Amino acid sequence: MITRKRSALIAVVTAAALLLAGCAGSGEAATGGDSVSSEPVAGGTLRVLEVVQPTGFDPVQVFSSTSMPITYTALYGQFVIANEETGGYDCGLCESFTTSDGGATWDVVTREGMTFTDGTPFDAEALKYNWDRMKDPALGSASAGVASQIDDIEIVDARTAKLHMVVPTPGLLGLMPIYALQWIASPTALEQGQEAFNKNPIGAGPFVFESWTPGGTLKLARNEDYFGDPAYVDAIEVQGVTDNTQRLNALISGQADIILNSDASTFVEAEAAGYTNVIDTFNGGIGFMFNTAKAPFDDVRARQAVAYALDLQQLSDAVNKGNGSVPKTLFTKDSPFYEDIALQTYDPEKAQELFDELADEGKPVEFTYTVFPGTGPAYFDALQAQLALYDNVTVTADQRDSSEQGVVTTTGDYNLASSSLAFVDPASRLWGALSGDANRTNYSRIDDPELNAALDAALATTDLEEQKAQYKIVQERLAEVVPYVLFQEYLNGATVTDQVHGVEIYGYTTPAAANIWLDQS
Amino acid sequence: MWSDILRRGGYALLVILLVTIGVQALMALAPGSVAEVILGEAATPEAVAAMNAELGFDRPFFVQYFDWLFSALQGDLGTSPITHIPVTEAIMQRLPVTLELAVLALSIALLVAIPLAVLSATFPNSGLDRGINAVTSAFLSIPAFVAGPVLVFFFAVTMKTLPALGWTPIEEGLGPNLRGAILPALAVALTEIAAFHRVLRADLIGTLREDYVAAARAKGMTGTYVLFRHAFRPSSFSLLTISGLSLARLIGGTIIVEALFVLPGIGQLISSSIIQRDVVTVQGVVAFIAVGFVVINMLVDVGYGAIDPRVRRGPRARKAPVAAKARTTQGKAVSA
Repeated sequence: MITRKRSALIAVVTAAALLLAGCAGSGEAATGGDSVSSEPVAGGTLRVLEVVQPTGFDPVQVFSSTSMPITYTALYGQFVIANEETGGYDCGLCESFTTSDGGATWDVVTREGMTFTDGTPFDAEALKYNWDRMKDPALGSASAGVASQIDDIEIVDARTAKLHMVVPTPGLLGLMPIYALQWIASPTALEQGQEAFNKNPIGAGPFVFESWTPGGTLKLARNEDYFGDPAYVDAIEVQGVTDNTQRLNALISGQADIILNSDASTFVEAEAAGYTNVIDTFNGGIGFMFNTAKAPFDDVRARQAVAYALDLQQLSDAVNKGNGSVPKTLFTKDSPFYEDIALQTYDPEKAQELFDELADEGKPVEFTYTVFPGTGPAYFDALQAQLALYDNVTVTADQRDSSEQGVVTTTGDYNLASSSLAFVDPASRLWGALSGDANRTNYSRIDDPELNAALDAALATTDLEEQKAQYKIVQERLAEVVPYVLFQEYLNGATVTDQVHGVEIYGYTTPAAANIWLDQS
Repeated sequence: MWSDILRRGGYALLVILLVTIGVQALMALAPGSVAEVILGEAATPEAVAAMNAELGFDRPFFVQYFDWLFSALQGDLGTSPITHIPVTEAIMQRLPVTLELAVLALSIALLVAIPLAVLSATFPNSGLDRGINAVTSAFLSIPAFVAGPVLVFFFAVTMKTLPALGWTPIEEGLGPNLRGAILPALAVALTEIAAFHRVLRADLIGTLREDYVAAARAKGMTGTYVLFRHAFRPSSFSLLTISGLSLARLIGGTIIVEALFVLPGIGQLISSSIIQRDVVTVQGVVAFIAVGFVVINMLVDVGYGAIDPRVRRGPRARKAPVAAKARTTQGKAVSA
């Protein structure tokens, strides 16, 4: 297995990006091969199984940028690209993306003469059209919250758009690949309406749309007029398959060349079957999120008690067929911000002491765990089984529909829920999830003055040592105030046959379609 | 006969109305909403309310229903707020897949069940009959969600002879199309094989005990001739009836198999629409399936009367289809 534990040097990057000139417009894509020494060759049809089926291709319909990276990077290219070497961001389709005032405004410059595949200019007006559209509540984009941080888009000249932010947003560049702001579609094609657009989506990516059977196969052909180097493969056929086992079955039976995956046990099974895994482990991970604004978890001792009470490895194994991998620290070891500060410690005696202490004060730890379909029931079973060993703690299930996940977290209508604190870039993600000033995205509602100060300070400086010092405080405070209990690493990866090369996975919206090539021998 | 058809048409309309009202009620009672699905992380209560209003889901239940019904009667089943594809178009895109799957499953079931039933009826209560019964009982107890993965394991993962998932449209070649369809069709067909075998076996055994069969044998006709010339046809009414009903049921009943094998059919459409709380698509697809089911059911009933004159005559004529099916199943009434 090729396991790549990476983290981003983001803070450095982001700050450097804003203050200095961010993307330099080199157009360098995050290309790369895996362990292959031979030169890339062109040709062939790449058969891909992604994790979800598209409901359409309009960028406002995209829910997550990790679920269909090949489809979307093929159609739309990458507007900005996370650079794993520098930890920063390069421009993909843009020429430059900079700020000179700490993120209060951003200047985005498009490439000269670039057009969408229907001939529509890929210019400042196109950016404004796409990003304004994303803010339109009637279109219901899942990226509306982030897009709404842009107060106004001023057209400076044909190629330059100036983004005026609602509040200074120094981490905007890092947010781009996470959200659908990354995908810029032809305004001319979008004007035809979503139904027409989904029958012939137009972008400026390395591939063009050929056909799509809803619920079936999407076929794409190489865009010979792509602004950069043409993609290697002639065509791509993509299917969305939700079931992890079926994706692997299809790979084994020879129906696919590459499957995307984030399930630990599927990676293990794939490796056992002789396939190559390319895995990027995010910082942070997936775990339980406490509602720190609501009893009983508005009392830090209740949160600490639950954290001490749980054998997280056992819990993770129970859900991952014995292949669970628990994040021990907030940052992975290859991150410059890594500190050996345990996020949580299993200590049943301390847990019982705290449960008893709270019960003696008339505040027994009785709470609900919000169960969403999917892995939710398995998490609940494991949680309940472990807490049943203690006195003065009771957990019951609050069964919810999967469609309610957004509302539950935004309204705070929960005690304990599963959530993700996985991230590549602490500047763009960690502040939003943990700062008391980040109202819209701090779903645990943690508001710890020391934590807030450290997050602000890390964001404000470009000095790496200072950032390390501040993120050390962040890690210490997280271990102390426990807004999350992380029990599973977030794996973003792919499994490939030995014919497939050039698969590079780093952060969001990867692997990129243009970089992948097939061994023709 | 025409009054019977009209009466049945009235019942059919009532069934369709009740089914569609029921579906809308269930979707309304279910937690969550399509607005919450669309908005995802941006789903604040205000945004959800605004989007529900935009989509018209904030109106009273019966206003929504009759608005939908009025449009549906004009052939407009609405447009999905998730995919922005008209529901009628989505159904027509996916219907060929489900129809082919259903017809293929039915064909496999009949091809396997008929010879087995003939063998069982020819040697009733023999070791062979008991063996066949045991096998079909096993088939009956294996649901499609178990049969599917087992078939995939053997034929796709181990033998690598058939694809584990996916669908090739028939326009891209009959061979690839059938290769993709065979495993899901087989998974669906297993339980049908068992049901068909049991019905046909019982009817054949009953028919073979009739006096006219004994008379035919007394005239010196061979057992095989009597079986196929005099017993098989009158014994196949029940089989034809349940085959028709199976076809109707399979059009809406292949949800699990379509999801497992990633087939772009009606079943996958309805399951994904339910998950996404896409009430417009669910309502339209269920109405379509209900109409299809009722129409096929009516055709079976009417056709039964046309084939067997006793069904449409006599004092018990109005209850004839059901009664006749029951009688033939028991092997007591067979028209030669």
